[in-house]
Amino acid sequence: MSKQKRTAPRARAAAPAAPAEQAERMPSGAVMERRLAETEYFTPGSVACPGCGGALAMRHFLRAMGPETVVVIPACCWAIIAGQFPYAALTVPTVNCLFAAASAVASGIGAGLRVRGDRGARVMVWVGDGGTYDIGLQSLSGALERNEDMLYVCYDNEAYMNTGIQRSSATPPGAWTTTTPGGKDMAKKNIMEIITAHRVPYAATVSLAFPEDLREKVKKARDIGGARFIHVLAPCPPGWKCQSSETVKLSRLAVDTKLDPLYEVENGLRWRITVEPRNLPVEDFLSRQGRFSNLDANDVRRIQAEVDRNWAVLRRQAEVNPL
Amino acid sequence: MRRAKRTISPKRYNPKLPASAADAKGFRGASDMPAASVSVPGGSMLVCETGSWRNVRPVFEDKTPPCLPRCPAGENIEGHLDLLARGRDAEAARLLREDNPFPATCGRVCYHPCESGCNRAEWGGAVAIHSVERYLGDLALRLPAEKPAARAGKSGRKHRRVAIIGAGPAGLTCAWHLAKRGIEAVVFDREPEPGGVLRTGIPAYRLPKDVLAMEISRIVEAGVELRLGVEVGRDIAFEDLRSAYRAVFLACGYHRPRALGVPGESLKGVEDGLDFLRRINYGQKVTPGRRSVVIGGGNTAMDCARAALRLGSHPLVIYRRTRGEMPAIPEEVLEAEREGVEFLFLMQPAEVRGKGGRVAAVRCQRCRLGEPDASGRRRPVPIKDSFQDLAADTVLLATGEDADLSFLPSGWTLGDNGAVLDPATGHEVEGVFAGGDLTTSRKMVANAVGSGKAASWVIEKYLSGRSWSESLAELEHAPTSFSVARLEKAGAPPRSSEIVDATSINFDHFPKLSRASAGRLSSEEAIRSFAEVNQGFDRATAEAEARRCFHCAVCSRCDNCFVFCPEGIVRHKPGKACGDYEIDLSYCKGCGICAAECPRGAISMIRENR
Amino acid sequence: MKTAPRSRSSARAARGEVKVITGNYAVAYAAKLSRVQVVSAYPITPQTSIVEKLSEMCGSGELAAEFIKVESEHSAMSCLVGASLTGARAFTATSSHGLAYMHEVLHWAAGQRLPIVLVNVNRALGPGWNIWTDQTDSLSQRDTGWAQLYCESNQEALDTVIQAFRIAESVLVPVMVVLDAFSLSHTSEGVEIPPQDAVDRFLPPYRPAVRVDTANPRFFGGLVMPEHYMEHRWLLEENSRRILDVAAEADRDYGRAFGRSYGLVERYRAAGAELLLMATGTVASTAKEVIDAWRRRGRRVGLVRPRLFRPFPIEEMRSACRLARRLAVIDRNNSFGSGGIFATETRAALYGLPSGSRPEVLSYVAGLGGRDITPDVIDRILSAAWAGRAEPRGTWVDLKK
Repeated sequence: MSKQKRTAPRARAAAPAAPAEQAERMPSGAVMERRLAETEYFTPGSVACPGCGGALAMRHFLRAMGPETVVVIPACCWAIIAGQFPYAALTVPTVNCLFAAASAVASGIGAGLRVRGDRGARVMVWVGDGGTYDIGLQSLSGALERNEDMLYVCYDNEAYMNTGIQRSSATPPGAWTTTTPGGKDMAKKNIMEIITAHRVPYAATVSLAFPEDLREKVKKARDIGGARFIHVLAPCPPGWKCQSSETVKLSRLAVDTKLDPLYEVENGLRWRITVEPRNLPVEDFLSRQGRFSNLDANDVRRIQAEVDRNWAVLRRQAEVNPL
Repeated sequence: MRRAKRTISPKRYNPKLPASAADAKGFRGASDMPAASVSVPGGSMLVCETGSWRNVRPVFEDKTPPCLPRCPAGENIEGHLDLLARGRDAEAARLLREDNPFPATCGRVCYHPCESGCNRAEWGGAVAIHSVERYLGDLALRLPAEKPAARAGKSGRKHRRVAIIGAGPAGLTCAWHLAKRGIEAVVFDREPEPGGVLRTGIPAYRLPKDVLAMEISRIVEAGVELRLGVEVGRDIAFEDLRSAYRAVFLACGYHRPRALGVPGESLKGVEDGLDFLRRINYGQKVTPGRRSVVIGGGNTAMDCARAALRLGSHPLVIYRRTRGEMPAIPEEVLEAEREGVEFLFLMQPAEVRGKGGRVAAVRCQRCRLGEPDASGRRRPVPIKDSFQDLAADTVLLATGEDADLSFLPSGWTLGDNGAVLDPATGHEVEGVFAGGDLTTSRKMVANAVGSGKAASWVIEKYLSGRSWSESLAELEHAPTSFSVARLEKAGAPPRSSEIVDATSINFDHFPKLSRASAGRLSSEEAIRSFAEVNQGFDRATAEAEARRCFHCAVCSRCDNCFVFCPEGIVRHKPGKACGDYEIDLSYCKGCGICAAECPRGAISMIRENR
Repeated sequence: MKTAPRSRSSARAARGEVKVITGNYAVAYAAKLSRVQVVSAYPITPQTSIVEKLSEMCGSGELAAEFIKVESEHSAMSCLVGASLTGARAFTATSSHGLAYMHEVLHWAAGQRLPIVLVNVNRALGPGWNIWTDQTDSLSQRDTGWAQLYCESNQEALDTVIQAFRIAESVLVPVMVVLDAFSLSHTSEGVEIPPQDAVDRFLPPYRPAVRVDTANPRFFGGLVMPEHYMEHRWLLEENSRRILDVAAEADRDYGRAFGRSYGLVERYRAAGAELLLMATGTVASTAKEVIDAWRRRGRRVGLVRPRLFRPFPIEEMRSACRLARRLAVIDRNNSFGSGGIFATETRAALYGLPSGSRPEVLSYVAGLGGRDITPDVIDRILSAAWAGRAEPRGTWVDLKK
């Protein structure tokens, strides 16, 4: 049987709530009840560092995805966090794979499940920024082009953290890493533009500081067929040289400084900004992290200008091609 | 082939795989291991107790919100705002009345020091606690009265009987708290009607008489006995009270006018301000002259001036310090000014001048501010030869009152804590406690309510068998507030007396919302009658305002700790309702996100002793 | 070409239609008969027509498989890793650089014990680009944990692919089936296509004990510490050794079912041979002609052809060669600085025999990059070997020095 693409959404999820106004950032009682009803699929005892953004992200994604999920993890921090033989930290099927191979392994699992008649399970590919922006980009692009039925999640901690903080093409300009001792002097790759250029059914950014927005988008992505991509910034206390308690705060600041705008894109063409940033200066985000300690006022100005430029482009997209 | 022939069917070989998490440990060797790295989930990772990584640990620790110790009446402000915000209005009103039997009154006349400490101040303005209190107070009026607790049998009557001198807010509060605990409280007052200064001193445009009457009738319904028109020392001897009752609470207030001490004070048209208000409040016909000069800067002065205004007079308030030192509630001063009351600051009366035995003018002397006095306010220093005559048809003296304790045995003195000292013995007089204006530093209704509650607390301990000194010591154990809930839980974890300030608040979780203000009559309309000026909050406004509360330092079950824990180890206690959290310390790595993301500082990170 | 399956005239043997097809098509038919469920491949000459044919079969519905058309061989093998983890029967084909590009994934598939079958059409590695036959590509993957079977004819290619699934699924070790570029891949000959029902009886559906299944979750490929790593490697080693029996049994069963079997090591006129030639793939066919000619001249020569390279059939090789005086190994491959790879393997295999009862192993490297190994070349090799002439690290034959 040739592969019949299920490009049409499997079942359209209810549209997420209107762009969250400030007043709606606090969860309502009803939302709390829902939160409680959900099961955890990430058990304690993992070796994630204290305050790991990637760990928190997995917890929330799986709570939204539910038990009918197969997680595919290439080389990245999570290859270790998921557990050491014979133990496992996730309670759903989990497959570790080669660094460059995640999207392909996911494609194979998807095909295998289909031929075996298992149509309920959903494949979630869980990859760091190295495996997404760098070594896995080719297989990711292939899978997106084939519109494989998978939810690809990039948890972006902005460097090769598992190997001890080396720069990746997701490392932001100015950031110290062990391979950019004077600070990186190149821009961060715009992965969302790469992804949306494939015209995938759904692409979105989410933030750990906005769990309701995250949840809505993951659930929406979960119930769409074809290739879906979600980017989540995952603060890394050892790599960012920040307080382990500030993971969520930095996630929030990244959104509010427009460094990590929250939006969603359908079919690569229709854009919507889902959380209006508070428009804080980037310095609020940068100054809380040791990796940016070598920046001077000029550097900060340059970064601010770049952020403003990127925001203007995104804003324009959302205005010209609204969702 | 020399090899031994062995037939292996395709299906005979199956790689071994662990069947359960229990298998995931202690392999003897390859023969009992799975063929490849295949692990069984279902909690197998729990073998790794990551709690050992930690050097700090989160602890849920309700602390003290800044409004709480500031409330003289000891209301559980955060608590009733929380209930109101959840739409549980009646429970909120009951919780409020548990601490204060005068919420509708205090919601109108309190000087609300609670709001001055509100951490919301920079985030849209302090929560309008005072206005919410009035909303809940009015709601409480419509709720059934608390049932009196069963009393002890007749034989033990004396042992459960308390005499209270003064049916003002302190006395009635004390009586109410005692009655609720099954202690018989008999309140004596020389006035024909209860309420003390609330009844006689505060004009109806601030505190409608029906509101007060309903509030007091609730207190009486709770089992309080009133003996009105009975003056202790005149109609009944203090010693007789002492012998008939196990304890006596002195709450007779300050009602003897303080003389001005200037010539012409006894001229016709010079009147004591409180007496002026009393006559108005009892419905007598009062007609001040065209020009009233009110002397003083307190709430009585404002009440006199605004009452005079409503009776057709043109009031002028003279005060010897500046506006900033006025003891009156600032809103009252503003209201008075808005309605057309005139003010002259740094002026003190030197003489009341008359014409034909009737007041004609007040001769005043200018002042400047000198060094601070005992109250912390700068002392007015008269300036030589700076006299000025101000025309006056009526002069209303609102310069304060004194206590009249002539009925007490001579030599007895009142301690700050309410204890009464007998110099003859050098000891505290057993069973006698003083409160209200007699002991509070600020002579305000809320302070009186708080001291009445404290008195009830001491007296109840005494009646339940503790010695008098032990009972008095109870007050020292009370935490920063006299809220009943907190008195009862005094010293018990998890409440700590640490007051949470704005640095412990995570403002990220709160929208910046502006403070609501209550509607009021226009000044033109207001001065035409004694109708209530402040219109109060409607339900929606009160609830919205309650939602602005940060619930500083008190876990409000917002779930942030649960949501943002990367390990998923903040859990709801099994079988408990949402909000009773526990942290699995076997796995907590001590990252501190829960404490950082707690919006209100109810989680502390404490160092581990390892 | 001269093929010599040890035909057993069994009354029960299922016979099928004979088609004149290329080696690549024979492989495609074999994959179809094996009811592969997931195919993933990337084009590379000379393998391409295998997946073209499979693509066509999937497109027409003749084969009920998912065909994932990936962007690289790395992804092709990765797809099969994923598919095989779900319990699906997985197949791919590649050549040369494509196989080299798969390298790390080959390790992963074997280490995770996934019974994938891969057909590699031998092709030389660049640079410069060379699309013709040469075994260095597959032999470079010697230590990945994959079994390797080398075929001599189109019929054998078809038969071996079907057997390969049975071997792989019996021991959970992936199997590589290797055939020569062009001389097999693109050369047509008569191939008997066995009936599907008989193949189904020979090769039951793959039903792994554990697989990716949300009803019975497992974690595959988690970090393994030194405490356990060696035991996992031992289990792979142990099961690789069992392939010797499993493959022999599969071949015997296949012979009973279809009338063709090949043995792990084919012996051609080897009995009583003083000089044995050893060759794999189509070189063996040519060599058989030359052997026949030498035998006609009364020279006692013969041929051994190992089909299995990994695991190396040491016992069978010893048994086949122990009585010969010399063994001349023709390698269409080279391990630089060391010589022909089959020769090296064979020397090691025979070394355990007592010194008096083992042949002298002579190594000849020939036909690299698709250069023809003509009967004349083999004749010259036989002559040199007969005379005992060979360089210690292998003589490069037909080399323009």
